[in-house]
Amino acid sequence: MKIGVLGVSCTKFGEHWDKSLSDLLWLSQIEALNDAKISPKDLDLILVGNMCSGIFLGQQNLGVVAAENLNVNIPSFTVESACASGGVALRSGIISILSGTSDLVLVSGVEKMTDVNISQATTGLMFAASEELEAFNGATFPSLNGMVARSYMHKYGLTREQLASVSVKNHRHGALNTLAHLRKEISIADVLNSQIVSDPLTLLDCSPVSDGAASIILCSEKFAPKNDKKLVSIIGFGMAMDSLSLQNREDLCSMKATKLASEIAYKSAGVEPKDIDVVELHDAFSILEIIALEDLGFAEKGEAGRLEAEGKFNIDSDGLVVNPSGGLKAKGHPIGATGVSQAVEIVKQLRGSCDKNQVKDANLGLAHNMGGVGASVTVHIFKRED
Amino acid sequence: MFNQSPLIRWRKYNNNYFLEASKCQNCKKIHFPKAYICTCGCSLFDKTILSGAGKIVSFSTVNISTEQFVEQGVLIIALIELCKGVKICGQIVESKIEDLKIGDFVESCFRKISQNGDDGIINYGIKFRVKI
Repeated sequence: MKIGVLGVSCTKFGEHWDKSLSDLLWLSQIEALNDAKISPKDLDLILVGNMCSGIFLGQQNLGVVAAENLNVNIPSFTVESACASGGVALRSGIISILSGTSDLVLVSGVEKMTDVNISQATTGLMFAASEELEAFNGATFPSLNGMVARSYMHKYGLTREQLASVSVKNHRHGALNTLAHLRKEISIADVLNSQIVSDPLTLLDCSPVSDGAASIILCSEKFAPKNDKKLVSIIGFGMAMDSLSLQNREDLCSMKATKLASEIAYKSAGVEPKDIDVVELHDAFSILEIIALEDLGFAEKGEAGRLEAEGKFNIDSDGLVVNPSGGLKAKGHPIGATGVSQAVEIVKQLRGSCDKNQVKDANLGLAHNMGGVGASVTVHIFKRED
Repeated sequence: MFNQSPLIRWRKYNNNYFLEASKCQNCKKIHFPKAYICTCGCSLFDKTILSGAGKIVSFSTVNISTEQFVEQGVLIIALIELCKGVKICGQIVESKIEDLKIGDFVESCFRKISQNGDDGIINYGIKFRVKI
């Protein structure tokens, strides 16, 4: 299988006080259409990844918003899978093309989060975990990840400094990305001394609350431009689920859904982890990057923290570069937009169209998007055509 | 958020008050809360009540709360293993975070969990404290 990527776009992530959800969505839609050099009338389907517009803004049915923005009457609907909403929307677009019902699909992701206060945001995000077993007892998303971090540190001897090096790297990358929410380099000491959010995680272990939107236009093989050296294709994809609550997991230090989804994606693409040049992975909390690196096959179990601290995944490293956009940590994490924005970043990296955060000679890229604490995971593999 | 019907909690009393679990009639695996289908494929279960004694698998704090817990200050959240393969997420009370360790033995205690506003229902349930 091969799905062409005709156009991509991403708004700046951050606090867009002057823009509504619809404004952000429209900005990303129109820029992606311009990038693809097509008109809204050419589209067969629109998908919108979003999680919280109902609880945060009192507005759902975003498929209609997305279609009305472009003055079209084609099928258009929301896809929701918590923080993996964008990744699952992308997957749904691919499947629509593979089914033969669509040739040109616009996949967007959007979230408007800064219109609510931090307790309201924490409450809304907790809808992604188990209401009955976790939220009812006062647990929050950071506290669930705090328990994962403590368990991993206990089992594998990960040090607090090694864990902090994830955020330091991602902020360094984010500082190079003009679209990132937090464009500031930080030190290990900054991470360790920042406010505790959920012990042992501090504020600088956690991704920020951001507004933003991203869009990608997919096309079937017959619509893909021929002999385009910069055309990027999606050559493999996988998705898997695990229990909603942490209490039903056998192991807190590994995410089964990431392992399963990536195995399917690697197999369908016919590639192995060692072939990948650049990855955007779901670092909503620093510990999740450590665990994802191992589950995706980029590090041996228990080794990712040491490799992070040695700078193995930095933008100037010879090998795999991880989260050149700054990741969720520094680029920002507007929930529904995140999965689409990861795909957009990988496409731009493979096209060679990034600015200061461009990874050298990247041909094969991977995007890993996660909903809940490893409850729903998508993995997509991208390749440049040459 | 809506002030929901008390029934949403009432129908879970057996879970939240008494730690009612289900035991697979085929492989004897215990599920908490009750499962619809066992990992062995069997969907026939017997009711069983868990003791509430267990040990800490991991723990963390809630320094920024969800709306319903804002007035309660910093909380300690833990995963407790009640018996082999059966875990529960709950608060640890009567201890400071710096005194807790993974593997500490705990016991359950019946406590107020939260309240739906000044005139809403009070939610009760189970929290845990370190066994002395």
